[in-house]
Amino acid sequence: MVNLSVRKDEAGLSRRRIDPSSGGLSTRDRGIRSRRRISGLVAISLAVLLSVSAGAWADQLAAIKAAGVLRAAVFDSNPPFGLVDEQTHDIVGYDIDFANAFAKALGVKLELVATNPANRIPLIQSGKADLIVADITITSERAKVIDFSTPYFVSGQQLLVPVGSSDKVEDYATSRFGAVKGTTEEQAIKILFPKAKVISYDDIPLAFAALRAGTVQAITQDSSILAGLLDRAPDKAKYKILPKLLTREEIGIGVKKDEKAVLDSINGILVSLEKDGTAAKIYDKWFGSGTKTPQPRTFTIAAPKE
Amino acid sequence: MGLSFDWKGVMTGEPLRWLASGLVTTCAVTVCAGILATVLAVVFVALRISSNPLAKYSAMGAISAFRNTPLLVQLLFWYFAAYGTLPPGARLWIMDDHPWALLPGGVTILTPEFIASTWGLGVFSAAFIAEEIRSGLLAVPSGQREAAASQGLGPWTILRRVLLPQAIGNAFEPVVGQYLNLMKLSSLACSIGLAEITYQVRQVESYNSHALEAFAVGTVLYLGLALVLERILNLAKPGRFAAKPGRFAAKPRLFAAKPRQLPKRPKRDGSKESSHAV
Repeated sequence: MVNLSVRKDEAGLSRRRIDPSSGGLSTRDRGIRSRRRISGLVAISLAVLLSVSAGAWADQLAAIKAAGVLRAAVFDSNPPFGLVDEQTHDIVGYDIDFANAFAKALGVKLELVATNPANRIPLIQSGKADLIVADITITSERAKVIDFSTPYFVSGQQLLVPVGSSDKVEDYATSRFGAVKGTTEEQAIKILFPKAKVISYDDIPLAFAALRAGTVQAITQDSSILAGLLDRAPDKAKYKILPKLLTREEIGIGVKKDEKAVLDSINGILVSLEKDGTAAKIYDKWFGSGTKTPQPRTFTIAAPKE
Repeated sequence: MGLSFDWKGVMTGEPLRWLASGLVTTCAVTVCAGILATVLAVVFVALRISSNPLAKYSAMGAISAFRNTPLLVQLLFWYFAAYGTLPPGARLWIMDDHPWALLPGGVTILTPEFIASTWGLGVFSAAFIAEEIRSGLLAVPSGQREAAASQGLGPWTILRRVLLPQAIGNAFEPVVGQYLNLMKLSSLACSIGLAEITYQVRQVESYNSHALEAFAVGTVLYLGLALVLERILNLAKPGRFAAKPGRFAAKPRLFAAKPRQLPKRPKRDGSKESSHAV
């Protein structure tokens, strides 16, 4: 298990340090306050040391190894990528498991920096974190300010159709689609199938109700949303999700721009995690059958194309 | 205020086309549902005033159900629940291409959304219109009926020639209000995917974030439609050409010393224009 220390730093970010070497949750006793204070002091001095050293060393990878701590910006309220465990109060999730694997491979401790979508990029730009491991979609816009690793999670727009319908996406070119008002999926399907009719509803359950009533022939949304929707449906045997991704949304590790050594090492670790089966195991833990968001793994992590 | 308007984002290109087709859809659904409501209202009134208790009470039950539940819920029911019970053949036929059902602006009136909206709005409005007409009937003095009966007229002729014309005269303004309500309530059909004005306004909003401009244009469209619809419906006002009640009412003016100072004759039932919560 892990040893937790929580404190608020100057930026108001709550950090949790995870020390894999210490045993169990024994700190949750009466001595927790003083220990927290001490580890808080350690963390502050470490942070000061790191911010000084990050400036001094040009190579961030060397800085991480020298400090012995990898700081990863993660979400704490975006299940299943990052969430606070109800029992242990640790941040856990798909992203956190990957962050742990990186720290283990680099031979350093892991420090989680809880963040939100808007703060992710500023955190690594200002040197407050080394990596973004926070469900961050790779976009050309973002790639101008940070570097991305090879994708470690791929989702995309899919179709949910009655079980007797065609498996070929092309057969739906003139169909009636149910979509959610104001979503990128609604726009994408109009571009993809100009001859189709797109009926937009307020939310995805209403679109599903329209599919049940037979007023639309397919509904479209992000794969994770469709998977969750179908899983909760009492009549899920009557519907299926077509495996083909109409659009691809790739999620990568965000690295500070031009830190080639860090980027290469993260890419290397990702590929080796895929090879030894760890990546698939982590996927199964958060997206396998029996989880709240089951969906088949439609991707493998590959070395980046250059 | 710091408000800035960019009408180009709404009044050109794609958004303009959307809004235009929304206007066509709103007009189409108003006309179709209005006709349906008129026919159903007559049926409701006939059943409601019939002496057959089964007809009377089933009409009472239906009117009560449609008047006392939210229209949005009714529309969701017709579209998401009732539509699915149609035979599959009928549903497939509806989904086919029908060139005859195509209106300008790419609006087709043979879609599940249009059918459910027309039906939902028509039935809902029919219940209100039926009750307006019935109250108009109740306002006709019983002497009218007795006098007509004493002339040897049959019950159907009495209703058609004596009672209904007066009842419609009594209830005219509230009934016009119901048709205007029908047009405005068609905006609720955007939640069942009918691409009318409100739906298109929201589409423009999510397309280029011109919320203020889009909603302003939508409001103006509804206002314009309501004014036009009111004018058209008032053409059908009883006595507008024949001036049946008017010619009696106008008489005292002949004897008035200063006709202009006479208080204006209050509009018949004008203040009673009913409205209902949705």
